[in-house]
Amino acid sequence: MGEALSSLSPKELAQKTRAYLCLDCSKCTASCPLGRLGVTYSPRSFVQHLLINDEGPDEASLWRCLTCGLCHERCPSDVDFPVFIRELRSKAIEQGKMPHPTHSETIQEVMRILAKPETKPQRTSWLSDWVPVIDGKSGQKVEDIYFVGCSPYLETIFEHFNLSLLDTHLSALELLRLCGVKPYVLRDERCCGHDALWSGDTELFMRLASINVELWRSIGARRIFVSCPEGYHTLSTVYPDHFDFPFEVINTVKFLAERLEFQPTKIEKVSVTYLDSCRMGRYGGIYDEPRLLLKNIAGVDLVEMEMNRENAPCCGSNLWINCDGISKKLQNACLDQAIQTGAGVLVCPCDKCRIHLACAQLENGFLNETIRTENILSFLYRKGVNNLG
Amino acid sequence: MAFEPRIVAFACNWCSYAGADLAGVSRLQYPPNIRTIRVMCSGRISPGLILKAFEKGADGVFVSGCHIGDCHYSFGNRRAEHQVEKARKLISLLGIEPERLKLEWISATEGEKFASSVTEFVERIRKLGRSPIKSES
Ligand code: SF4
Ligand code: SF4
Ligand code: FES
Repeated sequence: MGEALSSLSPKELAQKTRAYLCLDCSKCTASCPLGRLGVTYSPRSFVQHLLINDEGPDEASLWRCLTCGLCHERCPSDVDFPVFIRELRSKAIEQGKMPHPTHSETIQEVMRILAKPETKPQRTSWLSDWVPVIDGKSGQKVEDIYFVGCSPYLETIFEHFNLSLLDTHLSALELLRLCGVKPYVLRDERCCGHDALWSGDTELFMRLASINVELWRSIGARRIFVSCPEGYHTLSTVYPDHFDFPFEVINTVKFLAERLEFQPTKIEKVSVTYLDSCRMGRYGGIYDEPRLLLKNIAGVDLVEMEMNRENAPCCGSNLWINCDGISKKLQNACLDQAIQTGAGVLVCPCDKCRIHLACAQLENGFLNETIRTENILSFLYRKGVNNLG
Repeated sequence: MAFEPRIVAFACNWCSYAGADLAGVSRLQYPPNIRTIRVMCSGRISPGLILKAFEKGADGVFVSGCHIGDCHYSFGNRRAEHQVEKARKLISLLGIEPERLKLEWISATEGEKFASSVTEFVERIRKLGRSPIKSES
């Protein structure tokens, strides 16, 4: 994204996101998961209307896009509609408009409190004893950092889903240790700001990001390991555009795929399917590594969903805004595809996808519970290393 | 200047808010540090609202509702219990002392209980000092 794009006019923005190269093929409209569910949503005509009329975007459409990236993926002219919409949102927020937050704005409030320099988070008590924790202001210098992100807060907010979100990070740290890496966890780390950025609150995003970058600088970090796909996308591609960024951001799954060898103690057959969450797949281009890891576990049978890799379905909700019946339909459609594979476990790299899917499962009275979701890192550690059944 | 706690109190319309009113008309003394926000039921309270109060500068948040069994919407106060507990965990993760959040059941006839709970809470916060997420100025 380079400089803050939100200062650009819609026309300049269209230039930046290549919207002027649009061929009017309507692939985007046909691809959009919203359109498939009967909501009229056309990226193509949205941009066109905006450029022709001076009225500004209609608000419903402005917040409706899931930024899933499928239209961008399929567009023959590489029109980056998600970034177009993100920057329009940023402008809208500057004008005092607001999307509808979900969960009574709890997650936005967590971000706002974390964006205060005075805040001293206390969110590391769940870590295993061997994991080294470091205070950003301690003056200590360390090279490897493990970025946890918002999981401790999400685990608290969604504890009734029983998703064990912290298990993801405990497993990741154990797996990294098996590869000889023992990164530190930073006590005062902030949330990466992904959701603030994509819902248009650029100011909040920048406040969170600058605290993080400052902390990494002061401890002399060199490598930052990230398991959350949104965090990885944000740290590896958005932060470097805004800051002097001498850090190497490493995706845990990708890193493990090159190094980890499994030696299971007992082999038990299990059939799994894998969801290419948008920030991991379409945004991060990480498709093969998780599959390689899964296939390397003896006894694991990986069956693909009908839509996979670049075409993977959307988990139905994003950024903790605008969740409604459409979101539920998308979530159920995603779960249905997973169930149709006959797999017992839907392995997923993104815990936010798991939260949204669990929400639909709960709403259905767990009718869909013929399948359960598990984070890929927890699954790898449980099945590949420990074989805890 | 001496520290004066700023406290946000959420009070249920049917009980605690009337309790606060009774405390007023009975001329019971309680410290002026609270800003009362009336809600239709304590079940309206969510972690988001509590966090927002802290984010906007509250040193403490006081939530009050009808006694268990007396909620005018049957289980609103049960819900409030869960939501306040969730909020308590969240503020702890964010480095705000859990004691800065209090839940109390106060009926419409308990003007005295309202006054004494608030007085006690203001004292508690006075001892704890300024909210840790606020700057000195
Ligand atoms: S897919 Fe690309 S080229 Fe085709 S209509 Fe949409 S924006 Fe235009
Ligand atoms: S990013 Fe996804 S939801 Fe948004 S317009 Fe494109 S396909 Fe539709
Ligand atoms: S009506 Fe008072 S707590 Fe529900």
